[in-house]
Order: sequence, then C-alpha cells, then structure tokens
Amino acid sequence: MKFIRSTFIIYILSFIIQACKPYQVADYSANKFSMKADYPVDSAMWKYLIPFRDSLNKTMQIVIGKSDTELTKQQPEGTLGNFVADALLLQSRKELNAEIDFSIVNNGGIRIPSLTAGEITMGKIFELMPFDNAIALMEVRGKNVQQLINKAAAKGGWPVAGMQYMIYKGTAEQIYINGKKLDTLATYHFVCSDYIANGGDDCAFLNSEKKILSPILFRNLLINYILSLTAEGKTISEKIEHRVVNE
Amino acid sequence: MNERRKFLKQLGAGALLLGANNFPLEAFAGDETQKLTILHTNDWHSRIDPFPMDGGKFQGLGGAAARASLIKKLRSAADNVLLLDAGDIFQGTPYFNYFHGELEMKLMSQMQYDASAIGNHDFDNGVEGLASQLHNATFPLIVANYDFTNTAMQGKTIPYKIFKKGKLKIGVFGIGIELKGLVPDKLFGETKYLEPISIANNIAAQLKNDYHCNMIICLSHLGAKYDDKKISDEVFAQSTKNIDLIIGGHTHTFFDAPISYQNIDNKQVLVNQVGWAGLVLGKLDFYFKKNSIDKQAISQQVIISNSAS
Repeated sequence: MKFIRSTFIIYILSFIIQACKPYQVADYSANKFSMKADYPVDSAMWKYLIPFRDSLNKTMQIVIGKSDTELTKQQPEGTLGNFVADALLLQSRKELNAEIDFSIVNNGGIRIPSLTAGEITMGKIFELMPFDNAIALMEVRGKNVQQLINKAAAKGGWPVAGMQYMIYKGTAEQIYINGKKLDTLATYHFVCSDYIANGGDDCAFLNSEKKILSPILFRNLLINYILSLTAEGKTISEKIEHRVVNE
Repeated sequence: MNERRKFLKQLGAGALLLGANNFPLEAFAGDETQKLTILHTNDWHSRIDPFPMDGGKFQGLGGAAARASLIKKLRSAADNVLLLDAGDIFQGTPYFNYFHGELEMKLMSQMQYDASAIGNHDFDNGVEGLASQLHNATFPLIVANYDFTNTAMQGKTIPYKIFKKGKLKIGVFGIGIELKGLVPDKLFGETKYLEPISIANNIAAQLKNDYHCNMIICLSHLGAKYDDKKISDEVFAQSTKNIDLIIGGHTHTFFDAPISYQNIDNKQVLVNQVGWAGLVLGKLDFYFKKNSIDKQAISQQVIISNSAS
C-alpha cells in the first residue's frame, strides 16, 4: 500500500510541477500572402470606401496641362528633373516675388520614374510629389553653393535650373550660375524644398544658413506652374540641356 | 511476503512510476500545444486602393478591402490571432493628403488590428496631425522609446501591451526610429527619441519575469539592416534578450522568410518584414509547449506561399 500511496503522491507532484511550467515556443511556421489583383474584396469595406474614392477621384482626374514628350527621371540629368527644377525656379520667382538665382531639387524627392506624354492630371502630380514639403528661399555664400553642388554630384546629380555643373570624381566642377562661373565669395539666392533647407538628404550644412521658409507647398507650386502654362496656351516641353554632365 | 511477491510488487510500482513520468501525466497535466497566429503588415503608406493599372511594377496589387477579406478568412481558421503593424501607416497617396490619415486608421480598426508601432512618416502632419487621428483608431499605438512629454501625443501611446490569447500571455512592445534628420524638426517638435536597447531590455525582462509572458514581440520601425553602424533590427536583435520575435518595417524589405539571429543570451530571435504598401500579409504560426528544457533554438518549417487567391 505504501508503494501505491507514494506513487500517487509523486504522480500528483509531477502533475503540479508540469502544470506550473510555462508554455514556451516550441515550433513555428512562416507563411506570406501576396495580395493579387484578383483576390476578392471585403464587400462592406469596399462599399464604405466608395464615397471617399469618388470624391478623391473627381479631383485627381482633373487635367491641368499637357506634356509634349514623356518626361523621365534620370541621372545625371533627366527631363522630369528639369521640369521640376524649372517649375520651382520660375513659379517661385512669381509667387515669392523675389530675385532667385537658381533652383535645386533632391533627386529622391521625385517619386515617380516618368510622366507619360499627353494630358497631365492632378493625381499624377500627387504621385510625383506626395510629401507635403514646402519651398524655402535660401541666401548662401558661393563656397556653400559649392558644398551643396558637391553633395548633389556625389549623389549622382540633382536637377537644377539656372545652373550648370560637371560631375568629376564625385564632386562638382565648372559650376555656372546663369552663365557666369560660381564666385565663392559672392552671395546667392536659391530655392529648394524645406526638406533640404532643414538639413535633409545629408544637407545638414544648410541648417544654419539664412533662409525664408515659405508656407507654399512644393506640389502646389508645380500645379500652379502647369496651370499657368495651360492658361498661356503652352505645353510642357523639356529636353536634356546638359545642365548636369558627367566628366 | 516472499521474495517473489516483493519483486512483483516493486516491478508493478516501477512500471506505474515509469508510466506516470511519461504518457499519462503529460496528457493530463495540460501539455497540449497552444497555437498563436500572428498576422502582420508594415509601411502600408496610405495604399488604400490597389496600385493603379498604369503599367507599373505593382499594378493591380494590394488594396485594403482585399486585405480585409483575407484577414477575415484567416481569422475564421484560427483561434488565437494577433494582427500587428510596424508603422508608417501614413503618407504615399492623395488619400492621406486629403483625409489626413482618417481612412487609414478607420480601415485598420475595421480589420481589427491589435496594435501598431509608430513610423517616421506617421509624423508627416506633425505630432498634432498624428494625435488628431487617434480617435479613429480602436487599437493602441505602442512605442517605448519616444518621450512625448509636452507634445500633443503625451499620454496617448503605451510602451507595451499584454494580450491574453487562449492559455497564453503575449507581451508586445514598440520601438521607433530616430527622428532627427529623417523627419523635419518642426513636425516631431519636442518628441524625444530614446536609445532603444536598454529600454527594450528593461521592458522585455519585466514582461517575462513580472508578467510571465509566454512570448515577447517587438514592433520595430528601426529598419532591417544598414551598411553603416546605424541601429537596425539586425543590430537590435543581437544586442537584446528575452525577445522572441521582431516585426520590422521602415526599409520596405520583402523577406523571403523570417531571419533568425542569436541574442546576447545565445537564444534565437526571429525578425520578419513584409515589404510595404500592403502588398504582402505576413502569417506566423507559433506552437507552444510546456517544455522542461529552455530551448536554445526553435525548430521551424517555412512555407512560402505566393498568392492570396
């Protein structure tokens, strides 16, 4: 009987010990599901989204202008980059009513690889520039312009307007602003996105520079530029102009 | 009692003991397997509709309504489900520009997300812009290494949450990326980024030792890995302990399968990330047992499925 009793106690004890042991991960399996185009939608959510989508589409489908050719994002220079830099320079001169020497655009800020020829919708410009970045007017010394363009060159070439430069071994040479060679002692005014002006994309050296942060969104500036071209009966016409060349 | 009877009795008791240590006890003491299914996304960037049919690489793919129906289907086949996101819910389509994140939060709530980390782009309408959308979310934003004191987000996030699923307690905490240089200063305002490793170790230890969590998950927006020394999930996984799984984001990396690292205790940590834009839904099934040994590594079985249809 003693044996049976002790066996029973051991049985209960191990039961308690076992029950107190924590659950631990013993095994797992990993799986992933790619959301294919033909996967059935949740009909309640689909219905819920319709009014939002319709109101958005109404705005996004508005045609604001036309481009003669397909504009493409390329380095060191591309037609899409030239268009964005031109719009930034010309429209800023108008809207900020300021003397501006040049414009520069961080290539990464252009979020689509190309803009197809023909009609340009509002939606396309949102895709091109989804971020709500505003524009900044900068006042910097020539030597800091050299530093900025060196950065642009090191990153493979950033779009510019009102300027030309050559990329040589990862730095910028032969910098011309409105046809005149860069004077490192002179003061220049240029426009860029506030992202760059506030030190983004490795431009921390611009943090301490003199600047006016405008509330005008870069995207709205692009839209206004296209609308003004359209109002004048013009279309977007951009070509490679050797603004930025590799040595 | 003669010797033979003694012998037989001992034999019988021994046999009973042997049996007690094996089959009957285990079955009785609740050693049945517990299963947890983790569904996860990251960086869905306001991709509410599938990608437009414009010849692009992802045309027709993704979309919140398709994801919602897949999640529903997977939920119906599993008992214990956690649906998690690793941040960057906001920014990337005009839905965000026009509705300021309202739809993203509402749709995630409809899909019954359990928690999300905070990504850098979730600050794109400022700290105030994020705070103003929280009333549309039924799930918590979890972050342990942002100090929101004196900002609109103060008191509106939690560092961790413990989920009870079946017989399991799952501890989930969140880690955000350094904002300086990534997000314009004016957008994150007075939000302070705190060094994540010591914070993570403290919280994970607390979740394990004080709250007796059976599994600890980190929702991270640090990014999978970098060429330089910047902290990433890879660095983080190898510098911490008590974490079982890191659901990552930020670098938009499409993992083929979870990556396994050794933590500072030489135990296994899994890291997974499923690209971006809601193109992929990750599903990890974990099986729990009442093990007597503290396993150094868990066995695995990886099934790569290519289609949700």
